[in-house]
Amino acid sequence: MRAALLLALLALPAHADDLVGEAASADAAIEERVRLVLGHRLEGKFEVLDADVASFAALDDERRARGLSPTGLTDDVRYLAAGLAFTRDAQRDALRAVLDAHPDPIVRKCAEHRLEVDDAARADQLLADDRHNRRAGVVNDFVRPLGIFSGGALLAALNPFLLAGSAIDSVATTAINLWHYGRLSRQEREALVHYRTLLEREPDTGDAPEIARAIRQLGTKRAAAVCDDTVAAGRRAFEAHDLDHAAFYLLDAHRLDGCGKKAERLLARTDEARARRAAEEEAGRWPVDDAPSPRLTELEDYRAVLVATAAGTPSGMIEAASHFLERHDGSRFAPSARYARAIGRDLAGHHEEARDALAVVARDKSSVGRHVASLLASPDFDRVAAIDEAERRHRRDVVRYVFLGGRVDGRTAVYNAAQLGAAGVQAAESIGIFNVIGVATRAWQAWRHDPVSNQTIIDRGEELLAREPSSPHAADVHARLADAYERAGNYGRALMHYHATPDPSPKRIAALEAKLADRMLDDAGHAGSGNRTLLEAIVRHFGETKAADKARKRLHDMPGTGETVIARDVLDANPALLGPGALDLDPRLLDGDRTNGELADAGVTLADGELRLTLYNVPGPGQHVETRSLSPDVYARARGAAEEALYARLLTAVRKDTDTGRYERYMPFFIQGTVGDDGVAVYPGVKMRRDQSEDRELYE
Amino acid sequence: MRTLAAALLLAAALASAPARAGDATGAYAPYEDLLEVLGDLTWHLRDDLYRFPPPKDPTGHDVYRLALSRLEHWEKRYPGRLRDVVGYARAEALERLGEYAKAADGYGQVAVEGSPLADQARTARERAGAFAQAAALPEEGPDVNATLGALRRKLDAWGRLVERWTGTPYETAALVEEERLERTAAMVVARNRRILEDGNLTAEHALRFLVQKHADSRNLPDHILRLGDLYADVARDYVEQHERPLAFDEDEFVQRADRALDMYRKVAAWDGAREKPEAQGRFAAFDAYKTSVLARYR
Repeated sequence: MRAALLLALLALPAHADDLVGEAASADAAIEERVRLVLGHRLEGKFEVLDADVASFAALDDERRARGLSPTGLTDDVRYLAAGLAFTRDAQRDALRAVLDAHPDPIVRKCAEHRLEVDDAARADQLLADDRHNRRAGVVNDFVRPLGIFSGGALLAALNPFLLAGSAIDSVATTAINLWHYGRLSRQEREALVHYRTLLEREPDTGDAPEIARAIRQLGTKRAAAVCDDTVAAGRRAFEAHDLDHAAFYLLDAHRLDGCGKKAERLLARTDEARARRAAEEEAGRWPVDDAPSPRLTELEDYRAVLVATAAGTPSGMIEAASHFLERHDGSRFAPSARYARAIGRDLAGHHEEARDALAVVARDKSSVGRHVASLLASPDFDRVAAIDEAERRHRRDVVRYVFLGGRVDGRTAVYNAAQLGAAGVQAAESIGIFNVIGVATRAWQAWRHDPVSNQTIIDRGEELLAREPSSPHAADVHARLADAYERAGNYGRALMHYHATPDPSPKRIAALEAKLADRMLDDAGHAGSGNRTLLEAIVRHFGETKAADKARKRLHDMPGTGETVIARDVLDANPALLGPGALDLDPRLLDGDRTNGELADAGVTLADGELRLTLYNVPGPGQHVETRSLSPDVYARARGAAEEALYARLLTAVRKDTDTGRYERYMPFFIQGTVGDDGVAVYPGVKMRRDQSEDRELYE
Repeated sequence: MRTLAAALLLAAALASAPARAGDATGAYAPYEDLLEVLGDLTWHLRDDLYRFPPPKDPTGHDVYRLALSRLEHWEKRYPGRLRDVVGYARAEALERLGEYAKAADGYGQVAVEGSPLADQARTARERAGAFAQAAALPEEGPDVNATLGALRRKLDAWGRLVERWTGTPYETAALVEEERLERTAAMVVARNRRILEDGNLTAEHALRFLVQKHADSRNLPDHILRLGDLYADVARDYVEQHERPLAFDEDEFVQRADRALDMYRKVAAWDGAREKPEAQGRFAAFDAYKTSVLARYR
């Protein structure tokens, strides 16, 4: 009840304005009736308002019978009355009655919106769309492998085994889809929230039993999904040897209702692994039980090496260790002495010699040899080698992507196994390795956008430059970082590092600047209030690029702060705006005859107490701006009328997907061609319904 | 009696028995030679801990903590063996870990032994003692002003040490302490900004000073994040203080929120910074907050 009143109260201001606006053009009697209706609305009398609806309908009938135009207010009153309905069900019935009476576009839009935002209606729609999309997905994935021009089908002309392979692929894919068919979807999560909200708000609605059933069903499914997701996160962490995170997720899963058993086994394995790790770490902190003692003949020299190493003087370390090695080269402490000497050399600045000496020690089978080997293998030791390794790994991953596609997951494995099962070795041709089209496509994609992360190269390079900015390798590292950043699409950093190389080519700088400017232009498209700053930055810093030209144009077309722009088509659709109570414009400005003055598409702009008209030049081509100063009250009235018209236009605008054709909604099927990892495919399918939720991320 | 003594000795030996290496291999294997431990420690004694993070061994553990732990275990396993060397190295590790009083004690013990390291230990004891004195000064007072006064005095003491050890490996340790105290002072101001006169501005100045003065520090990204946190708190305060729709000014809020987001974004895009993932998380979280507030008031 309270919710219904609130709805009606919220609806009141805009429609009170409408009523008053429409009534202003009617006679005084109608205005008096409108005043009464508003009074009844404010008193919250649904029954009286219901009578007002009948009264206005009768008045309209009477006016029609007298050859007059109807008041046009019956739909508004009906909508107003709907807002006062006591229950959700009554209100929905009243809103449907409003729509059945063919109201004006604004009332229709408002009534439709009220019906659409009802939680149960939204949930029902979400579930219906979800069911449709699941079925369509299964059908489409079944049909797709049989696409008439797919790699498999083309090869099937040469080898009939492959046709069987495609059929098996289709069946296998369908089996996997059916296996996952019942998975909790985003839409189901959202529907559950809407159902719960509705029951909290309207526990007495007639749909309550049905909604409660849906809540129970979806709630059970959601609990199972939360359990599965948490266990899966724990498993992923465990498999990545990230035992701390694995323990967190698995413990969390263990505490969930009905999830304990699923997490138990993995939790036990995690516990074991953690205990093993702790034991290993503890072991590494202790000396061996029977640490060797130096022989009496080498004791003093060994002690000297220890003292020099503890003191940390490089020359002392080199001298003591060399002395020890001269006299006791065959000692079991010789590798340790070599290690101390190598460290002394490194600390003295002889890094290359130190590295060679360490490589010798690493080949030794002793404890210190193993230790040095693991040191040399760590990226912190040789940062240039670490960059080399990261680049090698990156190249290898790119090549793997081009020839084998993305990571092989369970689904791909089943797909491949099904093909191999059906066609034996010949199927290899269709599973991607020798699919020339797929390889070419991926090569093209890899060339356009690096499919592999460059982050390791970047991190290693940045670390080297931070620690050793004047290293002899710095210039080379700057160049390599410029490449890595460019591949990663971070053109700003790429440009910065490229500028730091010894002989930067102006051509490449220009190319990087162009890419950076394009990226900024893209960002400016989504940045909301920040886009003006970005566009100005493009023009200021990259004035010679093509993006700068586009930015200049967008800046030119952009309305200034505080401006109200009324385009010509808005004026065409709302001739009332031309009247003296609004913009007070000569109607001839819109009559299509340029000789008597004609408004251009840009229309009029209200700003700073002025009315600016963009007019076609007469005679000759081009446009000019004519400015009229308005008194404060005229300006305020004009601006109010303009904003009202713009709001009505926004409210009643048809929100059509630009990708959807005019008659497309009557066609439930599509035919699609794709060029993908598995070659070229053309196949029919069932259209999916678009996810139109405004708060998608809240239910992911 | 002899049996009892033997049993007690056996029990003591069992109680203090070290963990066995078991089948640990590679970087986790127990060490055979003390030089292996000393070598790692010595290699990193001159590391610049102000500009760069503490060194790690191949297993990812802090070299100083690992060396300290290994040396302590050596002392337990082989008591008295190479005592001066182990004691000196242990003091070095403690000094690098900021335990100056314990380090001064350790150096002092070596200084009084007839060791070739005695002279060096005396110098080190003097240095570590001076550091320990500065470290022992209080950092807190009964109220904000007293706390800030205590921090000021402590900062002066560390400032003198920075001057005294400029150009040596010990300067960086003093700089680390100075930076820590300046950050503490800035955070005290930030926490108490509501009760201080011009609290927001003073807190901002304090954090900006930290960012500017310690531009070379390894903690610079963290300082920038703290400044972002302050801006974020100020934006949240604005929402709390203008909760009613007509009191809320979108531009005012956006201006405050964007200052926080700018700071977070700086670190979120900072390749190689260890705070990068944290900054990305904070940016996403605060951006979501901003979106939610704007949606609430539209």
